[in-house]
Amino acid sequence: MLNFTSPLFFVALALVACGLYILPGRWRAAYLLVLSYGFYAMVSVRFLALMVAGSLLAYGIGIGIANARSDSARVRLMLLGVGGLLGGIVVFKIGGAWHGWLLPLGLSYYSFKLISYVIEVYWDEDSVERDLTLFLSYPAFFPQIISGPIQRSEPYFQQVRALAARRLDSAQIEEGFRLIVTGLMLKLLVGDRLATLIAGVDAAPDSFGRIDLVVTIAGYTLQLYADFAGYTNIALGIGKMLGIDGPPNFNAPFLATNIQEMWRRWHMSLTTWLTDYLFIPLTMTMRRYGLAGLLLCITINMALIGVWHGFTLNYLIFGLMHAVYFSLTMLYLRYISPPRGKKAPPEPRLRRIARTAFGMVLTFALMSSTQIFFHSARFDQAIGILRQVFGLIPSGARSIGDIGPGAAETFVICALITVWAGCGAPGARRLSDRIAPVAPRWLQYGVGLFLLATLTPDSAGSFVYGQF
Amino acid sequence: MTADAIKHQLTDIFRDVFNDPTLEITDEMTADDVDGWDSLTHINMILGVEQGFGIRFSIKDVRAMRNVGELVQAIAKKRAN
Repeated sequence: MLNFTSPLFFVALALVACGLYILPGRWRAAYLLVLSYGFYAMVSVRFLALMVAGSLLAYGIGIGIANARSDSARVRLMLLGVGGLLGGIVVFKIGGAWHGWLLPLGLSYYSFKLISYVIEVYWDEDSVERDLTLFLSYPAFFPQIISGPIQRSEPYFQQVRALAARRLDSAQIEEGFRLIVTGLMLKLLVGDRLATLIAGVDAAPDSFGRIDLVVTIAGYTLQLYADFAGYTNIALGIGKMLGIDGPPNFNAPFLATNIQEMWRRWHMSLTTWLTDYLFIPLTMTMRRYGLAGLLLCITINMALIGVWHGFTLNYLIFGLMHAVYFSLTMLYLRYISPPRGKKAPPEPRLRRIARTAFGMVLTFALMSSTQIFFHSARFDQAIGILRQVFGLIPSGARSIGDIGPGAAETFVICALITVWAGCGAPGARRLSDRIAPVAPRWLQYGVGLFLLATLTPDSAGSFVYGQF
Repeated sequence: MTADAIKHQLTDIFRDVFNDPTLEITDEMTADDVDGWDSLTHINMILGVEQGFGIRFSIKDVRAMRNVGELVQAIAKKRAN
């Protein structure tokens, strides 16, 4: 399969990107559609038919809502569209959990796009899109098909329309290339190395010492970030080369000083989607129950985020843990924490730094505690790790360094790079400018490509979020 | 109810929701201008406004409001109905 990490994919990408700009403007939307369907067909023709069916359903529903004469007809059509698309996700997720069905590539991601389109048209009939070619290319857009980011219809349609009149823009190509190279480096050189070491601990966690196990748990969060942020960068970079800017998924999540803020910075295209189409409508419906209603809405929202990853007990626990952390944070910020604002009494600098650092470490620790359930395939595995961490069962004597030659050093270096990237890679841009006189941009990219060519582990490849 | 009276009452609601007793609101103010104004505090603020003014917004209303000035107008319109 053509994977975002395979060299062949990028050879093909260079060719198809050139093709896009050679083609006359009016053919470009059709070209994107053909490319996207071609990409999908290489994975599965049967599942391509499923995506086309879902797309046509949303297209027809959109026009139906725009043409409907009564509010009740609009509501019925909207519910039919959302129900049909959600039904597809639920059927395949349950089939996957209970019968081992294969999940169609990108099913959740393109369905979420289509659901957002149907609801947007329901809210504002002017959002309807009647150009079938343009419409079909939206859910299928291949840079975003594997794991998002989940783009909204309006910015996508606008950008593809603008693409018809666009000339080749070298700054955009360079930015796309930079995103792809940094994404590949974060994923292949850092994330996949962490994944290999974590797999080494997973094989027999009870043979490792307590401290090493705690470090490994922090590694779960770091590896997930390196993998998913790396993927997102690649996806955004490919889109950019084709003239389409996607929405961001991460905004320096490790700088968050509480869980509520962390969710504003982590998997943002999913969380904003859920906020708009689930959380706000749900809270508005439950408003008469006051604070209890709000807490229930948070719990439902987080539980759904959990089970969306898969219909397993561990994912549900992951979601519910976040619901508890999130609710406590909200209550604390609203009722207990000292007042904020520009005119609040000034805080000594050292105390402010200490409070921020404490918040960041605590947020990371809470996030990692949920990752125990996210990462473990079975409930008893997660409980076993927790019991060992809290000293309820004896730990072994092995350390991460015993996994293989240089394992401890590799872990530390990869962890530090990931933390740095997850804090928004402070100083990277300045450093790049600073060394530009001796090492121009092309050389910097060249070094990146050289590192990718020489240091990519053999086991590298699939993306964590590709399975959701 | 005049726009000034609405703003006066709205200021109290904002100060409570955003936990900032010195917060001053302006017509042009958006979520970007207030520390801690995210989707959650937004919905808290909307619910606070509904309770304080005895009105009800639809999801469409909530999405259409882009700044505090538009919120004040929406409140005035709902109160007049």
